[in-house]
Amino acid sequence: MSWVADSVRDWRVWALFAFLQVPGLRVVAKYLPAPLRSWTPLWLLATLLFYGALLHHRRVRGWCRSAGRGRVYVLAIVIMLSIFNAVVYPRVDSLKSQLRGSDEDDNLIQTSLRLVRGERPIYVPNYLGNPPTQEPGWALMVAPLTLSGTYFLLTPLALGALPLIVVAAQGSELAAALATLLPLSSPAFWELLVTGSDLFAIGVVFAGLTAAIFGWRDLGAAPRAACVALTIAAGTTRVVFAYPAALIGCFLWKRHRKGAVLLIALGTVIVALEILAWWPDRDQVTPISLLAKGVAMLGPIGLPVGAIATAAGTVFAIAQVDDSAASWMRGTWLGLAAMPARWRSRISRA
Amino acid sequence: MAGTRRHAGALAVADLARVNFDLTVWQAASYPVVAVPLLVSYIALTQQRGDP
Repeated sequence: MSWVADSVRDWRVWALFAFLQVPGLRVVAKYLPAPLRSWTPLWLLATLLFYGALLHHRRVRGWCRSAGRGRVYVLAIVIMLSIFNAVVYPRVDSLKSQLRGSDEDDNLIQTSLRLVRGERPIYVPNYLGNPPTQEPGWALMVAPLTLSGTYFLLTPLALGALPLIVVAAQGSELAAALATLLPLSSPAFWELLVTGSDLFAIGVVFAGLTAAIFGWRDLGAAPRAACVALTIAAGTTRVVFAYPAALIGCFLWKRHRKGAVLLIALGTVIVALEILAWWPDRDQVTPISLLAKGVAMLGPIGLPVGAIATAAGTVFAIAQVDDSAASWMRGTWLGLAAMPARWRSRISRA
Repeated sequence: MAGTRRHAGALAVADLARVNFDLTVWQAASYPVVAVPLLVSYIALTQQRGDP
């Protein structure tokens, strides 16, 4: 059982547990029938062992490697997830007729549709009276799904894209299998899938952006223009996410200074345009209302602590970046994890 | 009188704690999922080729 001892000493196992299972506790508390809740500690222990086995058990890793070789498994998972969500998402979404459910998907769909129609996308509260917090670049990126009525595909397609990103960043077959399998183990992933949240998809956009900018030096003009477009989409997913978009630009400093300056400037311009367009936000009805909510949530003590944590996280994230795609992914993860952005990025009253 | 004020103060603190919990912990609990693809990608990319 040396793999168990290795797992307990491996911080990555605990990080997976914290990011995949701890957010799932909210799901357990909200939706799991009371008799089943007593099984929660057993589930948590099983997932901890599962993560340990994926990283340290030779036979389990061998199985995953075999699964990663056959791309058909990934395709099958994406198709099954899409069919599942085609059935479940409309039912969950219909809760809005009772003024229940998450309005995050409605915000994104309405913003996207209004932009495509040439209408002003903000100042339009949704059925719960909340203003949209998604912004133009991201809303336009998902427009093909919203226009075609296939928004339920957003998270399944994002899950399918993740192993492709990992393989494009020189990941192994085992890496592709882990990228597909690990998110599925999180109850929070399933909740966001059926409520139509865009949070997981945003994370995949940042993973793709990190991998793309890592290869910036070798890119031609057209792929670089695509990178800039993806940076705008990522930086406008929420007002707070212009920060990690600029942070990825900082990672490029050692490899390509002109590219780094371009991307950091782009992040700065996104923030400046947002302020110019929406400040002052007296009635808190624009996407930058998220900032006011965040300040209120952090409170007088949390605000300086959050600012210090963000500054420290930024410095550490930039300092630890080396010439490997893995270190870049870790850097973007640190940037997202250290943000004082425990903003209310979704409002669920289900 | 002082006891009543202390009681009211304790209630206010409890109420504030509940509001802060609702806002910061409960409603933002799903936020870490946005970082999951990055963490998973990092861990996946640390797996060596040919390492079972």
